[in-house]
Amino acid sequence: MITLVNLGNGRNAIIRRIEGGPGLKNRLEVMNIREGKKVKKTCSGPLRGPVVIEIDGSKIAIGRGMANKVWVEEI
Amino acid sequence: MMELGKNKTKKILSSLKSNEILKTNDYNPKTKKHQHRRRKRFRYGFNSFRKKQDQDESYITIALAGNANVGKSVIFNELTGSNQIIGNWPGKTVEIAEGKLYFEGQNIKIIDLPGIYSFYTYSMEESVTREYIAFEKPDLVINVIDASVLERNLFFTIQLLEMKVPMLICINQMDIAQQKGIVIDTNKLEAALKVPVVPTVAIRGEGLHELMDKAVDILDDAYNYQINPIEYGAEVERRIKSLTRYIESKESEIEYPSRWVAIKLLENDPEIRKMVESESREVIGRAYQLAGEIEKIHEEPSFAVIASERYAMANRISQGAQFQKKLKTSFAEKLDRMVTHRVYGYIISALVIGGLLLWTFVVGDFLSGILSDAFSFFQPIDPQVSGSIVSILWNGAFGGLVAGVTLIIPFVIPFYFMLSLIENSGILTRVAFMMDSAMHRIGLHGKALIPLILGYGCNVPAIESTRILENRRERLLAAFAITFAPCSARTIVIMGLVALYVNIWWALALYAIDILVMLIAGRIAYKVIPGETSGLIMEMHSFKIPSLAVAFKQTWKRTKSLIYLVFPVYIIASALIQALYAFGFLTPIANFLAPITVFWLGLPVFAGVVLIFGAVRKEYTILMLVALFGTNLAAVLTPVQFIILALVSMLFIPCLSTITIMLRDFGWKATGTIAIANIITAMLVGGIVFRIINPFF
Repeated sequence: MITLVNLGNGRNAIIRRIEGGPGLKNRLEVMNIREGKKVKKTCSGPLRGPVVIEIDGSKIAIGRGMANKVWVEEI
Repeated sequence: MMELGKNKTKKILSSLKSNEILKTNDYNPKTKKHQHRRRKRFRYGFNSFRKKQDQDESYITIALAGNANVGKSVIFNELTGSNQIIGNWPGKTVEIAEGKLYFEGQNIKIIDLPGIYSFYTYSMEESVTREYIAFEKPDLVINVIDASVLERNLFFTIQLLEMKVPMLICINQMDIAQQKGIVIDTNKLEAALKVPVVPTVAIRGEGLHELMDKAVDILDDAYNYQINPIEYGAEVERRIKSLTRYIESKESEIEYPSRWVAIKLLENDPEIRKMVESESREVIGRAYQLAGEIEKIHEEPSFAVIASERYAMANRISQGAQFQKKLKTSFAEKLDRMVTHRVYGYIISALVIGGLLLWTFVVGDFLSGILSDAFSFFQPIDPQVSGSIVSILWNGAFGGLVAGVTLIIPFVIPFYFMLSLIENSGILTRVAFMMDSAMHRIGLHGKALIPLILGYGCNVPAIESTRILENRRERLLAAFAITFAPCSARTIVIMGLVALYVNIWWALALYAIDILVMLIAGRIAYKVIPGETSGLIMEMHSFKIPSLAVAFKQTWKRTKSLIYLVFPVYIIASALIQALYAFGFLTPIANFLAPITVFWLGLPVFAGVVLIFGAVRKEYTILMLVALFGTNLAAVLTPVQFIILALVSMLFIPCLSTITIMLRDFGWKATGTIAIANIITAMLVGGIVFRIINPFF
């Protein structure tokens, strides 16, 4: 398993595990970022910038720190 | 117990009501103007105006609820003619806005609830919304859904169904869904949710008539309306039902529906638990036991089990009702790749911000010129410091008015206009994305860039908009940085003093210094205030072509509130300054400040007074100079003095209205600290720059 940060651009993956407390989990969950969801990494920002993923056709930017806590399995 | 809950809501709601942002668009059908506007803005309803006279004043209340940025505010505005600020970034509606509409013989009150994603109590918006629905009991809730992200929106819909309010679903932004290749079968959705569904494109007004028709139908009981919450999986559902029955048997007086309370207790919602606890400890005990059982079966916390079941429902319903067509890489997609590119992205971001500012200067300068010419045609605005007190005051007040009209209006209007075009196009979120890592250096994330850019227009709305940030620490850091943002008033000072009397390059250099100071001060503040920066989570909505009508409306709304705030202060203070000067009150103050102004900053003695009045409104720095010496300022100040005066007045304290808004949002201590930090920064930077540039002239 790798984190969203390490996932290659344009690659699809399934979210397997989200580290962190209920606060972080909830912030991600309400944006539909949760375990079992299929995501596609669109791009990552330069200079340790945020990561952009696509879930169900909507694009969401996630700060790099958080993206590092989302573990995915590439498909 | 119920009383307690009720009081709390009342408190929240009344504090919201006392806020000036809550506005009621009281339109009177007897006036022609409103009739005309109503007909234009909303195609139906003209015939019904006549009937209005013999209607009583009872209202039906319809609340708009849904996720952030699904178009609730657009619908609200279309229906009520009110001017909620609309933008293509999430989280603007923090207060509850209220407006009125007359439709087919009914007086309808429309409530625009804050955009939320769920009914947990993590944020104030979520508590406000759920308490509003439970305690104020609107006659109907219209759940506004973004058609292009159906599943995520349904997660909220399912929770709303659990609250058992009469409900109607509005699937908005059908056009964007279509662009994304999503086809939605509203009949299937209706069947799955057992709630009427109306598709709309609110920004173009499409479907809103049908929406209101359906709403009125439901209220007339034409549907014999019954809300049925969706059932969970067998293990969870059995326990919910069991707890619901148990709660009902206790005959408690909680305002929320029993099933909803049962679910919230199983989710271990702290607020609901507290509410129930004071009434019946047995219910809590029973809930605890049932939640334990769920946890045992699924080997996961009960709240997580319930959440994932809800997601599963949302997923099932959305999959059943929508169909995704394959799409070619669209133009918007290519554009997106371009603006988030590691090289072009920065260039485009810089162009967007730079272009916005350049546009403001060019158009502002042009408009300002026309307006001053127009005014000088009426009456010369040379200051008058002798003669009768009345004529001095009149001259001062008129001068203040002219300054307001010719200095603020021409710059603020083009700025806000272009800003709302940029906001609505969706490019601002891309700029925020590109700037995220840079913003982290001052303890903020990319989203904070939006308030900062707003600060270039005026600090007051900018500080207000820091509410989109996650916590108080971040809001404070952003507000502090904003107090250094070169707002249009400061731009006027820079342009009016430096560009005009020295040259444009020094004016631009001051701008650069200002941004540098902002970053350094922000960095220091970040190190001083303890805490961790929360990360960025921001939806990047697809690009859309901004609507000119929306931009005009927004510009007018923002400008209007600025005028109401600023003009009275302007006119009164200007008259006062002139009078004070004419009667010789200013000289002692100037002499008292001489050690700082003359020795440290190298300015003439009168600069002290000029700066003090500049704290009321920054443009007073110029206004005051003109009031004292007329327009030939080159005779009284050297180029270096022009530069230093502009620099210090730009940095040294936020203006009176900014201080007012900070007091309201952050309290005395924080505001005082920020103001003192501003003064120290200004003195340090001013003195140092003076010593550096003095030899060059």
